[in-house]
Amino acid sequence: MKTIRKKEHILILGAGAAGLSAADAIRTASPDTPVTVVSGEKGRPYARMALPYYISGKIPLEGIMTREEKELARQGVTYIAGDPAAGIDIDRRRVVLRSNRKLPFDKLLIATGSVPEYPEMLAGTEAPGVSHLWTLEDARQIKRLAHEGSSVAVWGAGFVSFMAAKALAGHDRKVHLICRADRILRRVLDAEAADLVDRTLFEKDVLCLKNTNVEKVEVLKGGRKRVVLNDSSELTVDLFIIALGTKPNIAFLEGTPLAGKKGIEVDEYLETRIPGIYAAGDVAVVSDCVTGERITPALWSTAVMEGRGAGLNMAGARRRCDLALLMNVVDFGGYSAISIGHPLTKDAGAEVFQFTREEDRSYRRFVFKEDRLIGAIVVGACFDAGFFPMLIRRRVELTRDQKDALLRQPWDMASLLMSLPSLMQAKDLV
Amino acid sequence: MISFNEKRCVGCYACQVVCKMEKGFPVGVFGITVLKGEEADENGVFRPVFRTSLCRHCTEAQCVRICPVRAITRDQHGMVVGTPEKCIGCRLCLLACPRSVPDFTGAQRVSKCNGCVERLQVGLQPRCVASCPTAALESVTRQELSEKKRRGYLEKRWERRQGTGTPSR
Amino acid sequence: MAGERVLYFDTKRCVGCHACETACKIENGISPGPKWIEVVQQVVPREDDGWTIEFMPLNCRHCTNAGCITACPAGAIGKRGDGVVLVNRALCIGCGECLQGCPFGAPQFGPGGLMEKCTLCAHRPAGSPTACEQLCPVGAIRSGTPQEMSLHKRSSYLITAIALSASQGR
Repeated sequence: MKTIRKKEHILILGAGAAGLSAADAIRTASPDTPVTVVSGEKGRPYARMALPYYISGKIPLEGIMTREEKELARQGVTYIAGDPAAGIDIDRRRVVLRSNRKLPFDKLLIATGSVPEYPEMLAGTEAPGVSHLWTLEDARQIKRLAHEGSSVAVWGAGFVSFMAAKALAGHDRKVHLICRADRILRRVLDAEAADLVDRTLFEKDVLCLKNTNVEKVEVLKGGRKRVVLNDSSELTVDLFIIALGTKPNIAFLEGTPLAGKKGIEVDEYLETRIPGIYAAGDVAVVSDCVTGERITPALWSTAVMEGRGAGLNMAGARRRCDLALLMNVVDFGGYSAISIGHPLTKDAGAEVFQFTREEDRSYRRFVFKEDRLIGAIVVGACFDAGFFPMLIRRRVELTRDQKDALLRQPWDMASLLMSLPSLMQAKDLV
Repeated sequence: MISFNEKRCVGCYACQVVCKMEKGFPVGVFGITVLKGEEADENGVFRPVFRTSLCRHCTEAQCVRICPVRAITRDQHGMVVGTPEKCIGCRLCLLACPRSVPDFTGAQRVSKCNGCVERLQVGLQPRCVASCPTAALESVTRQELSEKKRRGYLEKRWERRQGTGTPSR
Repeated sequence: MAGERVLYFDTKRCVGCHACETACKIENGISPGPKWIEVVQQVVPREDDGWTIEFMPLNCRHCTNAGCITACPAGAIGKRGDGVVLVNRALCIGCGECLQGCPFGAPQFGPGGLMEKCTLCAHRPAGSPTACEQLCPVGAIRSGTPQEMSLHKRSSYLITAIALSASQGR
């Protein structure tokens, strides 16, 4: 691999999965390039994905920290915390932070992640206990307010709201999940899987209110909140968590050619249209590896992969890394629901196979198109689930016999998949 | 690494059992799994084939890279080890591993093979290797395995030519 | 496949000088340890009760149904159009399964921990000889398609046959 010239300064905006993966990759490829990582939040970098687990008490605060300052220093990475980027001067190649500090760069990686959507109707109800579950600060506040026996409402039925509801369940808390659609996790799970998840949630004292929306939220005296729903019923809760989706955090790029409608447009090496400026993680618009659509997946797994690829490319490699595979996991300890690829495709040419096993509440859905697996849902037993991302990502073409053999034993595909020769289709040989 | 010779495996599951006894993994979780399949030979007669699912302690371990809370790390002996106390059970490692090795069946936290480092250090073989009655499992470095296979190939070739003596370098 | 390139060895010619190993290491910048090509010697009995030494090179055979390609869980190994089996080191995860699938022990693992092996000097322009072929002092190594090999063997047979008949005065 070519290493870049010394003293070419690399600046990384964002210390999440993408930013830190990129820093690691640059370090392996080019040990003496000066690297600066800028985090918009105070304190050490942490894993946003693990916040619900911190709230539920499964792991301590220390457990969600992704890097120690010592470690960053040992890696030779300059870490600036609590000072988000406020603007970028492309011509003079420098980034302006909120504190008006100016950071010059030779190469820049924008990995500022995403920010949660805040509905306009909630303007004026800012109060402790009405919050997102997005930053460590939010999580701390929720953990403080969610004492035993409190009641909680979570607005939204996507991944974050689900994780929040699950994290707060138990300890005599009453948790309501307010869901606009007729089922939870509508984008990633089908009705059968959602039903299984729903049943498990119910056992954990989470009540899912379907086809329901929030009309109004009022802060009562004493700090409780009254949530008025569209069926004119009311909930009085201690905590109101908003999780209605996210959007790329690119407000500071306003007015530059970088800011696109969906996010930052990048080429297959994650470089933007301005040479030397790269984007990775939730802000980058990449291609779906199945459909080829341009998407911003906003997933931990894609952020890690893109961050690493962008880091290597910034350090002088030329590695294609813009293909993203959608992959969501929701878990209840020993029980999980995994959605990979496009299991809910509306494509007319897709063949759907469903399998249910009542005794351990397992459910599987496989979606094939032209003898290629393009989507899978795995609920319950999951020990062979690791094979499916590979099948989908590599667009492996199965023969009729192979496909039939797989579908004959839908609960244990591991031994068959391990010996599937056509799994192996290497591309871009060096 | 632990090398597996599928021609020798008879599917006795001894490795699976002793590994579990040694490591005390939770119910449903195995550090090494023997998978049974079947294959047709040229005459269309089926014969059983065995494969193992075990951690290869990859150089570029995808599980280490993807774990958000660093519950899977590489230790100072080069082994990829799991720390169950740190694990949040998000299963990303399972989905990242091309062989679907990290086992979560019925468990909340990751439990995985650590290459029996503690046994290697006192000069013992990994438990699964030590227990294998047919020597289908072997504990070797990759270069040793390459050496072994090269030698094996040469010996076979010489046997076919009805020569004697052993190859030397 | 007809057009696949192979490395052909004349074990009768090889004198065991290991020049090919050196040439390969220099050409491909291989770190100490891995050997993409390795020449081993073997003592074999002769018909007249004597002994002779034969040399055998060990390297990637670029098999048609390559076991390493099937074994690789990362899909990092593949066959190029001209039959050369190559590993994409960007995809390789260093699990060592290719070695399990290879009957010749060809895959090597250096200090970087990723798989490396003979590429038939794929970085050279198409049709050019490999480094080992170029450096072999006795011409025991040749690369090319099976047709080229066949042509080469036929012509060398003809030369021997002509030389033999000439020496016998016919």
